[in-house]
Order: sequence, then structure tokens, then C-alpha cells
Amino acid sequence: MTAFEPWMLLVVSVLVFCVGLLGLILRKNLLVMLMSIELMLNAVNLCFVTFSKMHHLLDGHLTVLFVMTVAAAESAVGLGLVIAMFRNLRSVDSDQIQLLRD
Amino acid sequence: MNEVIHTLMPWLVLAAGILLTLLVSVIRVESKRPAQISALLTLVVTGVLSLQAISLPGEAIFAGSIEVSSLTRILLALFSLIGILFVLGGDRYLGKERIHLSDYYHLLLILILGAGIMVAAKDLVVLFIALEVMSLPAYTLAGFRRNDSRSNEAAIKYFVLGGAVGAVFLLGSAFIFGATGSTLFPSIHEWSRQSTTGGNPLFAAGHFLVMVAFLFKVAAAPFHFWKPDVYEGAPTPVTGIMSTLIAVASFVTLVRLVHLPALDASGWETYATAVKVTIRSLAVISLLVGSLVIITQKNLKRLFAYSSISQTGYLMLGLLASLHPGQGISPVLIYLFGYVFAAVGIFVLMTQSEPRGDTGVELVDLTGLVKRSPFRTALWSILLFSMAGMPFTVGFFTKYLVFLSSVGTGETPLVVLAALCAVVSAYAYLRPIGLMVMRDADPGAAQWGGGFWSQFVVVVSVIAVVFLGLMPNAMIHYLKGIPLIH
Repeated sequence: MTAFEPWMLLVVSVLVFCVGLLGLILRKNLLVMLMSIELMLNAVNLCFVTFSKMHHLLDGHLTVLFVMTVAAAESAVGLGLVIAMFRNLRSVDSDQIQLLRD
Repeated sequence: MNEVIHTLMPWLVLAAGILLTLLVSVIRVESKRPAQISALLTLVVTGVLSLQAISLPGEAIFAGSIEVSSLTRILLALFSLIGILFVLGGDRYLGKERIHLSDYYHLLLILILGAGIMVAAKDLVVLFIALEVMSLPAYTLAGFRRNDSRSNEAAIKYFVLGGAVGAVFLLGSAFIFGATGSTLFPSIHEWSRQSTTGGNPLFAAGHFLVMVAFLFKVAAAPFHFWKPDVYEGAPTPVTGIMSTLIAVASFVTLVRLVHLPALDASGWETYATAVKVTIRSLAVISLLVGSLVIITQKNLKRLFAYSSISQTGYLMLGLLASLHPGQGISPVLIYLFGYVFAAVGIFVLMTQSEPRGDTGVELVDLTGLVKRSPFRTALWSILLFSMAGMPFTVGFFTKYLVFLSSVGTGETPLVVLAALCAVVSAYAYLRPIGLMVMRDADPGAAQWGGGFWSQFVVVVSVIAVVFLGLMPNAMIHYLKGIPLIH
């Protein structure tokens, strides 16, 4: 069994966060954007657990449970909004939503 | 345990009121009145209870993760007041737009509870949860005109940005946790006093991430691009709530987050300078963007979105001053209180124009208003004067106090710039008055008409603006006694 050094996990979590952020900026499909937000939150979860392990504390492990709950609530609201938009516009493409402009 | 319940009573009443409102809206689906009355009662009781306890000493509960102090009590009372005013004032608008649903009221209460916990949170994770409790109903309320694609768009934009902001905030919290081994504000403060390394890169990265998250929330330029769109698309009372309640809660939280480490501790000089330079440059950009772009706006909601961006600029001046030793946060609080009263009046007035399709209120709707409705013109003028910072309104004194505290800390060039920006943006606030008084009604101008309660709310806020403008000492004395964050 290979032992993971904490810094490796931190690098992974920051990389996953960046993938999520890039996905949010670059992708045009709203459902993929929702997934990107989830990806960012999960990357932070990994980060919390790693730091918790490094400090020999339980706080980070507990935080993860809260974050997962909030993430679930957030995606429920997000899907509701996407459905409301799909009913009006028949599309989940973020390029379609450009009514509000200067 | 009893003491905890006693301390948290206003928050608990609010939480119980949410359940009650949800319950009555399920029992009597066909009528909206029960939910509305239940929401009003809840807010009144919450406000009264928190005002009653206001002079009690601060208390940290739940292992220090929440601190109930005079500041949090007065802010919860202010949030309840804003809630009451918008429940009363938004009633007619919701009916006109055919979105008068019971759900509006319990979502509003959840939003207020989230904001109330957010300003009391002393732990980064509790803060995150409170932020989401405040934001999730706000996204839903922004999309409340669900058959209008503009409202959908505003909600989606707000949601995507808010989700990203939440994640960025959380990553910052994780970094701070990694650097300090705690998410509690007092422990982090203590850690920064003891560590002489100052620029610990992990902590610096985390602290900047949590600050950036809230700079997005308060829409300091260049993090402001979402605000005009969301303001325009959301239903007008909801825009008003965003511009007052959410803005106050977010800015107060931003102030706490900036003060998270002890910036005056030895070894932190470089870091403190970096924070100050960041805030100073964002203040300059916000002031310039806010007061230059506002001149070109024709839609009133967009106009006040840019107005709130420049207000953020003035508030950043107060925030910058509070970073100097011996300076309190009271100018920022006084500014926020003064701004809230004028903004509530303005957004409720905006709901009084009859809808013309799905575009909001445009400047052209104001033309010739003095002939059609002289009283309403007077109300508009007083509120706009306060926004522009004219003497004898509260807007003048609040700006003056912020400028004064800023000059006292040697930021004179910044104050000169801010004063110039105030002069430039005064054009944008005075032009609507010109249109109301000098011009004849445009044939395309909307009709205006408000119900009794809507007019009542506007009159109340105008009285507050004038009263606090003529006698600012009452408010200033009261808010000056409120201690700084730690």
C-alpha cells in the first residue's frame, strides 16, 4: 500500500477545483455548469479532510458533512432554476440567455 | 442551555415563524393573506425581541461559533424592519405581476434568517452555511417571475455566480484552516498575534480567497458585472431586498473577514500593506465605474445597480479607515443605515409604476410626473436628493462621516476622488428630477399608482431620511457605542 503524502492530496484538490472553475467559465451547458460547481465543492472537501489529517483534528471531517448537505440543497435549487428556464426558452444553453444587456 | 435559548430568542422566533408561514401557506392554498400576516407577525416579534435585548452584553455560544452582540442584534432588527417594509410595500406589485404566492413570504423569512446568522457567525463554516441559507432563497426569489425569461436569466446568473462564490469562499476557509488549525475567528486572530511570520503564503491565499468571495457579493468593481443584470431581471421588491438587506449583511461580513487576522501585529506589516493597497484600488475602481457608468443608464433598476456599486466604493473608504489603529467601524455602519432607508423608499416607489410589458421602469416613465402626481414627485425628489448626498438628507451626513474618517487616516487624495465622483454621479440622480419637473409626459410613459401600504412605506422611509438628515446625532451616538468586531 502506497502512503500518500498530504501535499499530493492538496495538489489534487486544487487541480480539481481549477477544473471545476474552468468548466464553469468555459462550458455553455447549464447542467455541466451545475456539475462544475459540485466539483469545486468536492475539491474543497478533499482539501478540508487533508488538512484535518495533517493537524490531527476532527473539525475538517465534520465540515465535509455540512458542505455536502449544502451542496445538495444548492443543486436542488439550481436544477429548479434550470427547469424554469427550459420551460420558457426550450434550451439549457447559457448562450441563449442574453436578454439583459447594457 | 436555558441561557442559550434566551440569547438566541429572536433567531429562534424567526425560525419558528418560517415553519408557521410554510404551514399556513399549505393549509390555505387559495389565499395569500395568512402567509403574509404570519410573516409580518414573525418579523415584528423578531425585531422587537432583538431591540429589547440590545443593551445586553455580547455572548459567544455554541463553542464560540456564534456571537450575539449589540451589533448583531441591531442588524437583525434592521433586517426585520426591511422585511416588514418590503412585505407591506411589495404586496401590490406581486399582485400586478401575478406572482403573489405564499411561498414568497417564507422564502423571504429564510433569507432574513440566513442574513441574521451570517452577521453573528464567528466561524468560517457557520458563516458558509449562513451565506448559503441567505443565498438559496435569494436565487429563487430573483427568478420568481417564472414565466418571464428575463427573470429566469437573472436567477441563473445569480445562481452560477453565487455557487462559484460559495466554493471560492470555502476553498479560502480550507486554506485558513490548514494554516491555523482552526476555523474560529478568535482562534485565527490569536494565531496571527503569535505567528511572527506574517506572510504565511497558505494563510495569505486563504484570506484573499474569502475576501474575494465577499467582494463579489458586495459587487466591488471589477467584481460587479453580474449586478446590473440580476437587478434588472429580478422582481422589483426582490431587487430592493438585494440592494438593502443582502448588501448590508454582505458588507458587514466583508468587514469582519478583512479584520480576521490581527493586521497590526508585528511581522504582518507587509501583509497589512498588501490588504490596504487591494482595498484602496478596488475602492477607486468601484467609485469610477459606479459614478461614470451610472450616467448612461436609462433603466432605473440598472441605474440603482450602478448606484450601489458606487456606494460600495464609499463604504470601502470607511473599511480602509477602519484598518488604521484606533478607528472604529461606526462610519461604515452609519452609512449602511442611512443608505438602507433611502433605498427602501426608492425601490418601493419603483414598484408603483404600472407594468409595460416586461421591461422595468425606464427614465422615460418619470417624464411629467409632477403634473400627474405631485406628491409622488416630492417623494422621489427627497429620496434622490439623499442618494446624491444633498444636505438636509441622511445621505449627506453619512458621506460626510465616511470622508471625515478617511481624511483622518491620511487618505486625502482618495477622498478628493470620491468627492469628485459624488459630484459626477449627482447628475444621474438629479436628471430624473429634471425629467419629472421640466418635461411634459412622454406618450410612452407608464401610469403610476400605488396602494395605501406601498405609499405608507415610501412616506415612512422619506420621513426617516429627512429626520436622520436633520437630526443625525441620535443615530450617530447610538451606533458609535457599538464596538468593533473582536
